[in-house]
Amino acid sequence: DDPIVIKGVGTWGSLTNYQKHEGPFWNEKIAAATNGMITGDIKPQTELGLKGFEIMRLLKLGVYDYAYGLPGYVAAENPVFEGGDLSSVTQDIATQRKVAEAYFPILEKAVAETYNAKLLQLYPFPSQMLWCKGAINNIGDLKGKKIRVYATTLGDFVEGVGGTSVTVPFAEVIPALEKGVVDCGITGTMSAYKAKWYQVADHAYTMRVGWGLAFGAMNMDKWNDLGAEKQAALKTELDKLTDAMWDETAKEDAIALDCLSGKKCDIGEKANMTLVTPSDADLKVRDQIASDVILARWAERCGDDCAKNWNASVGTIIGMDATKK
Amino acid sequence: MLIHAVIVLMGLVALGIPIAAALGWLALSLNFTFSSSPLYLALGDIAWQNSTEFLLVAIPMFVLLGEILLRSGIASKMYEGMVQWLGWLPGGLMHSNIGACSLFAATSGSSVATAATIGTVALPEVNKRKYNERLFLGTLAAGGTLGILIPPSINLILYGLLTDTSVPELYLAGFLPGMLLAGLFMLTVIIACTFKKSWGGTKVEVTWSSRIASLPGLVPPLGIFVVVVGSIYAGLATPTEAASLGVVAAMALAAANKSLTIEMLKGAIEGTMRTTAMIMLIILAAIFLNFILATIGLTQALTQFIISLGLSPFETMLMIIGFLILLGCFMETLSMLLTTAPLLAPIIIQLGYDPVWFGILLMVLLETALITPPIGINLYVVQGIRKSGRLNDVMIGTLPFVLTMFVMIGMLLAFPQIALWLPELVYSR
Amino acid sequence: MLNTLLTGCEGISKRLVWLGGILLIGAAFLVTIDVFVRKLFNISLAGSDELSGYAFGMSTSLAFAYAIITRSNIRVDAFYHLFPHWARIASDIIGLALLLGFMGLMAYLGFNLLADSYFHGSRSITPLRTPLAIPQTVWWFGLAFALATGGLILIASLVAVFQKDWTAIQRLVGVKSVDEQITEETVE
Ligand code: NA
Ligand code: NA
Repeated sequence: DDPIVIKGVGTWGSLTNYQKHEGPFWNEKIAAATNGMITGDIKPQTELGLKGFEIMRLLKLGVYDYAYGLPGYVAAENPVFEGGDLSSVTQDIATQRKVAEAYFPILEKAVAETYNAKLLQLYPFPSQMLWCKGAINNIGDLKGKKIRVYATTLGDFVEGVGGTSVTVPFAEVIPALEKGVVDCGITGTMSAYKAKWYQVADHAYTMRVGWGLAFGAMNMDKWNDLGAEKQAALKTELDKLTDAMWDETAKEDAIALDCLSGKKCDIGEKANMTLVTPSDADLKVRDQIASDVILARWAERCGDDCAKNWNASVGTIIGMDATKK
Repeated sequence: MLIHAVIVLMGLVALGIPIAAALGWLALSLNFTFSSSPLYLALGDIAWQNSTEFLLVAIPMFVLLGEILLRSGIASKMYEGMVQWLGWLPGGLMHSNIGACSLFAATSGSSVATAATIGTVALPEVNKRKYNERLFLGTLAAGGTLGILIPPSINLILYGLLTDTSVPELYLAGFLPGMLLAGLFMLTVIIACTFKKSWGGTKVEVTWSSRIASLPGLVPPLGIFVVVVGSIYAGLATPTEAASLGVVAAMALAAANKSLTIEMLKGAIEGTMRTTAMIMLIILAAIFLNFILATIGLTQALTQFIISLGLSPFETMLMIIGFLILLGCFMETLSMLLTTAPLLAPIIIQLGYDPVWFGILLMVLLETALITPPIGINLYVVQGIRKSGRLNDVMIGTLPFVLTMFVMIGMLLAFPQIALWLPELVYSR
Repeated sequence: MLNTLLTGCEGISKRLVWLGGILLIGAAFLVTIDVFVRKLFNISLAGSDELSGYAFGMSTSLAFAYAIITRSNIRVDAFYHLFPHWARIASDIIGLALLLGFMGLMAYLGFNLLADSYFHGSRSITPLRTPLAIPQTVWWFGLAFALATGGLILIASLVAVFQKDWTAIQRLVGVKSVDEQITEETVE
């Protein structure tokens, strides 16, 4: 058997998932773990100047053998890709992992059909929350606010709470917040800390409106070229990597929130944000919005079969139903 | 790898191949020589994604804005106003040239547009008033470069896009250095004309009443500046949206000036689209080239090489500046920005320099590149507007201002606060 | 025959440029309206940024043909003017051929993208959920038309080489003279 080289593209070079996991795994660990039978070569999309949307097509075209990305973000082709990360439906990472695992076979099939790729990993980014300039004490305070979103399902959440969804490029969020072009922005906890959103935002509403659920997938032809033995070896190592990524992200949320609220911070300067935890009443309102707006609209755009699959997998875990209204 | 890249690029460029094609074919040749993956297949996706990139929408908007101001006669009224207010200084209209360029720069995102617009309205004056023609041409070519340093600026938007730096911070940072550089240009003219009185031409006769009468001509460009830059800091618009506001404001001004006609708009659109199409083709090719360079590892190789030299951060910075000045002699500015910013930004951040400050330094270096021979676009622009004479006249007349730019670069190195004071004040960084 | 086709292309390309310009001015107004209603009434026309991005992409590609016809490609002519006559002609023709080759690859791969968007019914992930095949079709058409126009110019200039008609070559693909640039900037 000849050694095989896998060329990959990772997520954001400035964030932990790439720095600690995607990068070291492919550039170093996999060669060691397989005695050099599989070696990898990966760079983050940020270094390559890619925007993210093109990544799945590049995987399909064979520009890359292995690609990481966010399904709802890179896979514009089909609303089915949004199903593992619909806005606000899960509030803790243990449940989110069950959701991801339940939805895995559905995504696996869709990835194979649409992109000729083998889905091998699903893992989360630190959870997505609302970062606001001005006080937010409960979900009702979001009404009438202009909120920066980056995906359809997040827009549905914002419209569900009576806000206005605004799309602003990531690089323009800070000035937009500062000048009141938007009142709040949605992004992950660690991104909010690293991009210094705390310089302008003073309140964090810690409802988890999304998880930034990401995937790792391999070009199907390349996967088939590996042969059974290498496939098995790679799968074992990737599963270990996936576990490590879930564990790390669970910790990252807490670290980022501690830094943002100024409790303690070992990774940089302390910020001074007020964290507002959603109350039980808030979560009740959220249940209503999730079923009336977020899930209903998604079921509408995804179609009956798609919604049925979701209800039979994710739906049973979190006790919700996606039905178009 | 590096040598291959330099030879292919320089060869194609020197042979007169269109820049966009040179960058594109260089990318393809690097792909086939240094990678076994079919990286070129990404071209379709890269082209589409960047063709519709919202941050780049500012490019045609700024070009269109400039075309409307020129064709509606607003630019020439502004120039007349500047003559009234700055014409008394030693060097006369040459100060009006620099002043008008600065004011126009405050409405336009492009240096070429600035030099072309002010050049068109100013050049008829040179023979009328017996100026030293070379120095007069120099003020136009050099003054025009202010277009990318004084906000708004297409190049600062592109730098922000390529390096993830905040455009509002860059705009604020460019403001003082832009004014300072305009001041240094005027000082250069004063020194030259005190030293050699005949260069200063015949004096412009102005009265206070003619000055007051010229004021309305200065209002429209200031109005556009308030709309395009003010709307950003007033929280109305993002920098990209502000460019669109500027177009609408320019059309409103042209209408108020009774010069908003279908014919005028057709001309403005043709000029805008011709420029934008060519710029975009270069941008698409350059982004594709950057993608290939990063994927085959040339980017990291260069970073590693520079770090391996073991120079101090300041020495490295001097080396980078020297390299950019040299490159600027031969390279077109936009291609230079697009190919160097993604390579250099990570290096200078690693060295501990502020990316906002480096953005401003890079703008001054790009301005220098615009007027250093043999390849300096602003030299060509000014020569192009002139009906006769040799390109040499423009080159020689611009030389003193190249030296002034070096002084400016030195000042930015010695006092980074010139650039950073305003953004630090506003964003309490 | 060739000349008739070229004249036709030139007429079409100018109209495409006006169409693109109208799209662009429309985008400027849309963004302006969005900015004002957002400030005054606190509502967002969600998507003016996205739509102006499409307007930009479409208008740019619709202008490619016009840019080629008017010989607006940015070229470095510092050495070009030192070349002997035959070398300048070679530079003109090879330059155009290389440009068309690169644009052709872009158009070919762009067509794959368009076809995928069409067959998968791809939509943007923003609240607008734009069917991507629509703007991509216009964008691709602009590229294809530019290629066709450029191809005609290339054929016409090769024909001119065989007929030793040097002025025709200069008019078709040469570097613009200073006079031509002035006319362009002041008269039109
Ligand atoms: Na400017
Ligand atoms: Na130069």
